[in-house]
Amino acid sequence: MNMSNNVNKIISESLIDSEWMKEAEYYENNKEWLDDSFKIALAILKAIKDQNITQVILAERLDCTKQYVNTLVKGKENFTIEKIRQLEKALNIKLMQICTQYSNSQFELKKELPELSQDKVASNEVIKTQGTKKVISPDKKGKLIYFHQNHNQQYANAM
Amino acid sequence: MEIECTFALVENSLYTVKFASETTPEFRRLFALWNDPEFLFEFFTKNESVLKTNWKGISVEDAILKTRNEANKFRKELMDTAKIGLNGGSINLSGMFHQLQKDESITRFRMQKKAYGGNNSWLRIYAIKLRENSYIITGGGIKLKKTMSESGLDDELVKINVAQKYIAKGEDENLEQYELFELIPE
Repeated sequence: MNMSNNVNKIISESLIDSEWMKEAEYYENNKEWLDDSFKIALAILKAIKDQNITQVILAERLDCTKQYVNTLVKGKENFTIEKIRQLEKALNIKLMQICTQYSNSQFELKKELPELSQDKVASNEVIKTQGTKKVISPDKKGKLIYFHQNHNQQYANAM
Repeated sequence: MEIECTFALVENSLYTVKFASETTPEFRRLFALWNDPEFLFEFFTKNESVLKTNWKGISVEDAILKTRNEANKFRKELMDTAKIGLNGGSINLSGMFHQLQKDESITRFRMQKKAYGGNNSWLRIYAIKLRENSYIITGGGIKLKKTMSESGLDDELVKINVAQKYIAKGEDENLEQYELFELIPE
């Protein structure tokens, strides 16, 4: 049998494998969370190595089976927020940060403060008032502390 | 090492062997490994010193992410190419494969031409050319050093030899006529 006939035989007798394309499509359709799952798995594996522990010990810390821990490091687990936080606690690592729409603007340092009317201050001496704002005695670092009447918040502002 | 059967990934273009000792055909087995955090972590941790000397000190974690990203990007490219074929378009895989040439030592292969200068992927897929624009994948691996042997890919050489004999079906044929190629994701 010559080469050509051998090749024709291989080609004609080959089974069809369509699974590879399904796997490729599945990955492309779920890429974002699968990539996250993979990175979490990697972080777990690194933490296990750095802490010189085993998956068995991690399973004990998580109060689950070793087999379950093994699924977590396969890169295909759809983690719940609860599970991620449990892992963070068990391994003392950071896996996730939540971005929210809320800013901390009300706690930002302000250069210009609104006017405050005079009011009593709990423990510090009032140096002067500027409208609705109270300037109280300097803190230990020499910064003047402003106390806003309406929001009951303190702003530290260097003069 | 024995080949159980062969599979068509893209009919008339791309095939793969399945070894009796494995549960999946070689092509899928490779991509499962290149997406397995445990396998990659163990592999690159073991080869951390090679990453330092040969790959500009890339970290183990970055090496793992690079491997997975390249593998999945390549698989997508192959999938897109296959879909062209399924929709009646013509597929030309020849541009993706680079011929290997046997060196003096039977365990040493070198590339015949550097057709992909600038590429720095360490992923390798090995194949035998069946005929024009038709290849059968025999295996693959991660090649961190200059030669296959140095990179611990001796098993791949054995697989290539087993596949050549399988295709020749034990006939007294010159196995050299079954040219060897490697596929490197770009």
